[in-house]
Amino acid sequence: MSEQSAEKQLFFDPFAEGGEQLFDPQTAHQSMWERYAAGDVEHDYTADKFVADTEALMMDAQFVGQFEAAQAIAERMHVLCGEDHGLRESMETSGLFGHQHDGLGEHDHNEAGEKDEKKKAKKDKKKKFRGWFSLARD
Amino acid sequence: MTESFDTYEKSFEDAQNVFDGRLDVTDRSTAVLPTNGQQSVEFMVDNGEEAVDFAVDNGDEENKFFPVTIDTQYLRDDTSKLFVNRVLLMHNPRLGVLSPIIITKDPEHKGEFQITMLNQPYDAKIGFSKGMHFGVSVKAQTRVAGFGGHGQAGGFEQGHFSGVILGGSDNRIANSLVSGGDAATHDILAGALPDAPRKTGGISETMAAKGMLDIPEPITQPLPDKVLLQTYWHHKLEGDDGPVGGDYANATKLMLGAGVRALGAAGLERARLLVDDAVRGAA
Repeated sequence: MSEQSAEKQLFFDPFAEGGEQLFDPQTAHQSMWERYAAGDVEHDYTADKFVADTEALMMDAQFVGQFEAAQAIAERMHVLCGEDHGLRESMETSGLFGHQHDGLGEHDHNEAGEKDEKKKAKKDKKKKFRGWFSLARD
Repeated sequence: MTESFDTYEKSFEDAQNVFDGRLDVTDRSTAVLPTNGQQSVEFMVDNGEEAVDFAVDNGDEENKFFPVTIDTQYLRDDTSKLFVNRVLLMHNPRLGVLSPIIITKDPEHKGEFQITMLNQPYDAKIGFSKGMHFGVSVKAQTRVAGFGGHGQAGGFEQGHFSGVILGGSDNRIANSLVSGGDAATHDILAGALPDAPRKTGGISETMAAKGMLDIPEPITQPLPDKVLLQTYWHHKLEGDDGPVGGDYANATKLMLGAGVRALGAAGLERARLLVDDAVRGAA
């Protein structure tokens, strides 16, 4: 083998317990491979059962009612936080607002989306300011 | 076996020859990971010698695991397309076996990535099960732009739904939602519970940690730049449509359904009162 191949590359274990995050798989994984070779690894059916049960539950009429009740509660929270789909739909239907420019703030509940919104708000503010400026100048 | 798999096998044999000292080349060999004929992806078969010896010497086709090295510094370029939201396996130090992992973009820190491991054994006989698919999918689908976005799917706004469900189960979260409203929802979706010693990584981890999702609790960690990850690929991580990833249909709706079930009627009533309080506070 070449000299280059003799160098050990260390790998990073983001899930390491006890703080030792760099390891050499040739040694660190040895006992794991022994377990696989011995057929000593068994599937855990917990999540499979959970998914099957939940899917069945979502088909149950009584539960669907409960789910819809929870959804209605969430929608109230949604409105509280600045978005009213019912109002928007009503306004769209009556032609008061176009779909793309409803002004009701479709915003994104992840930080990247929130930052984009802030940027957009800043830009809009700037735009608005330029508008006032030009109006004043006129 | 597909043609691409044969190609991979051949490359893998080359790698084995390298490790056995039969070929005088460097310690790396390039392999092509099968992607159902859609695309050829080159991976470096690295020096996981035990893995290679095991995969070859075991003589058990089912138990072949192929080492795939990921250098995280390349996740920021086109390499991310190969690995992000794609399921691979990694040594699970808690169980001492392989477990499924998925790399997702960190929506809170642009350009950064997270890695989530499901805390359950990967049994080569069973392969990638429905439960595993759900587990990685709730992670993947709640950490993408759009989840929790106002205006998504009409009035069904999953971000607030998640927050309300958690608020109905935990007074600290409820108080936080009442006082913080929308901003508190953002924190909760990012896995930052009020007074929590650490972030859990996201809403799916939080719900699992609170016992609302009966799945072995996943763990999410940030991925540092410029480190090597030793992952493994197994042929059952390839579905009919290509590599398996976080695409389980309606995973987030199922997650919320499980949350509603866990809340029960009493929890729903608490959630309703929580929103009443929030509305009163806002008025």
